[in-house]
Amino acid sequence: MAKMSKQLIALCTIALGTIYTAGYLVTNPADETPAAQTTTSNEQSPASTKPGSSTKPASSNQPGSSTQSSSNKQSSSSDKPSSKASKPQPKYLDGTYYGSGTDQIGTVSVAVTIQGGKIANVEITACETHYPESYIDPVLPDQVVARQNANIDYVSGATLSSYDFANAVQQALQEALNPKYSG
Amino acid sequence: MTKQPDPRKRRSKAAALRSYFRTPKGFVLIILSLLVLIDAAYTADSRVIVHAVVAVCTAIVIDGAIARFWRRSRRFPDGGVITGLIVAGVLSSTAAYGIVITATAAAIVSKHVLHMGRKPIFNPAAVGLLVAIYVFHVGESWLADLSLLPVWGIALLGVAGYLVTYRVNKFPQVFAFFAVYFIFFGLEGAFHVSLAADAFRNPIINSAMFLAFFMMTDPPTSPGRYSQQVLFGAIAAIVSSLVYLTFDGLSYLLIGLLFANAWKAWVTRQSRADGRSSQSHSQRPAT
Repeated sequence: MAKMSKQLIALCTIALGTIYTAGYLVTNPADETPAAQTTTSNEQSPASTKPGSSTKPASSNQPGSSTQSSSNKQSSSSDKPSSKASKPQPKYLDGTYYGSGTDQIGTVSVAVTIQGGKIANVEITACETHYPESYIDPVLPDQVVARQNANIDYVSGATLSSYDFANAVQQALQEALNPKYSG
Repeated sequence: MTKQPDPRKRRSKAAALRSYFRTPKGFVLIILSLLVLIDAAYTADSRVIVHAVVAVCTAIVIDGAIARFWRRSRRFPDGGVITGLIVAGVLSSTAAYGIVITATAAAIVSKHVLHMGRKPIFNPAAVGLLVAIYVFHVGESWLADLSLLPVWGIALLGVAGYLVTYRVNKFPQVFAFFAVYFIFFGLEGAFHVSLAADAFRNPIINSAMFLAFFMMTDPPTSPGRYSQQVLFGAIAAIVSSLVYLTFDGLSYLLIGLLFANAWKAWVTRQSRADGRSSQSHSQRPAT
């Protein structure tokens, strides 16, 4: 059978490119969700540039710049006045705080519960990525509770989900920060 | 005195190897190997290479054994090697070796069991991957689609895909697949279906390209005639897109491909039946 001519291949490629561009623009998340404008690309994502580095901590993440700002506080004891001024202030205020991390594979949302100034529980409330939640749950929530911070080890094979999770936790912890905490 | 190797024999072996790599199968073999190596080099993660070695060895042993004892053929199982590379390139990089071996074995066995004439009905790699996903609940990484690379990764994938598609003469089905895929998700996007946006972006578009260029173009399981190629690509795209929007996940492309394979088998069977009936009509003596 004769092959398609190179001119015809080129023409079809241009036509497909046009359809793709139109579809890309029509579905641009920036039009609908302003927060998604700052979603990370592969170059920007520390997780995706070194997916094999399973021990790489997420401490350098800047979740505020790459995640949807959907964090909010459900309940908090921050209004309670401190009875003893000399008592060292806890880093986090008690309550449940929410955060979410978004990148090109989707969104991971978490609920972080603070009790007695410590991270008592981390729950993945939604894992709307194209990958199973079981890749990161319960290993990453357990790490956050054990380490009392968002510096998790990226799960090999689920680096982008790990990145989303770390950003979500970091965002929730930002909300939970005690303004009187001096470090 | 030691016997010196004949330089002419060595040259002829090298020439034979060069001519093999110019064939469509040899060319696809090189391209898939390169994709796996590029991903491993860029991500500094050698697990995909280990998986590829495990899958290829499994494929050589099983495909070679079946070919030798069942079909009485002593040819090198290069088709099985390609299947192994695809399985390793798509399966989760955290999958256990046993899963890689089982998925590859299922792929190779399906090729020899589910066939029409001498050709397999379903894309063997797609069958093996779906067995691993739904029976063993293992995930998919699609690392061979270079989705972890920067934007030049997708350009590289596109160039490699075009070269393979040109070699196997499958442009109509690849163009039809992408045209339907883009139009479908573009329309969905216009109606604010959030999943549609992902279909145009990394890593979803990378996996669609990998499937269209390297799995859908498998000559035995896809049609040769251009008109059938167009329908084949359109069916794969429509089924994939519907499964994607309905169930999400990552296996929608494989399901779409198997539907298109089944359609191709049905068309082939119909045309054979038509051919037989017209032959018998023409041979029937006049009464």
